[in-house]
Amino acid sequence: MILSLLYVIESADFKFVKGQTNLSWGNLSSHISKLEEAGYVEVEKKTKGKKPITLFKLTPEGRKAFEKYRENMKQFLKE
Amino acid sequence: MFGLGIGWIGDLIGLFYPFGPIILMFGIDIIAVLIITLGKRYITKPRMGLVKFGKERKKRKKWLMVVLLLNVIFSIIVFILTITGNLNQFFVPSLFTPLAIGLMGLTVPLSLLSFYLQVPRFYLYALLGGFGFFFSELLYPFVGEPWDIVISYGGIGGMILIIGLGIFIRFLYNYPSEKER
Repeated sequence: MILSLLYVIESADFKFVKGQTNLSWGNLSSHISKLEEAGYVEVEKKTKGKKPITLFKLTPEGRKAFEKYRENMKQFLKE
Repeated sequence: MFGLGIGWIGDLIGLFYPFGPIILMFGIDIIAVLIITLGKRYITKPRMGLVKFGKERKKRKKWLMVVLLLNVIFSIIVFILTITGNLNQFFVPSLFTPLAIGLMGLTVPLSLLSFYLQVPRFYLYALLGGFGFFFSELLYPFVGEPWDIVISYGGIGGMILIIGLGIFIRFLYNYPSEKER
């Protein structure tokens, strides 16, 4: 769900991803950590004025992995 | 559209005569732009969070600029033909002219806007806006100037405002602020 959301956008912050996926803060944080470890998601910490923002972006490997997953699902559904 | 309809009331009440309609119309347009800009900054972003859309959306935005530019050029041509009194030679039946101008000047570009931005309700706005000029010409023999424009465009603009208000209220309900949570 997180990968499919990040696939269609360039980047998004924690609040946006949480709102779109309906996951809890802890759940989302845990999934993002795993995706970051796998090299699929890039986490960028910035500040806007004095407010800290965490931005998520899909890496090229993440995009390829999602595209491969999508192809596999299409094949599976055809069969 | 609401500004176009309500602007003519400025003429009726003698507001800033003879510039009342233009001032009210542009005033309402400026207020609309301010509402969108400030609303995005203080209401939408704090509730929804930040998102940057990808290459696909940026490509669509470029096409949109082309469509809007063509619409501006078309509007300028129609304006010049109107003030030189040459418009009617292009269309024979009298009500066909406002219908054609409305459809070509508003319906087509707004429909393309809807297609590129992927906002389906803009198709409805496109249809309503395109027929606005036609409705005002239909009403003119019965209510005269400026009530024909006030009723047609004011009514259509008012409808669009109410739809927008409903969508805004639904957004506030679906995305409560941190304090409300």
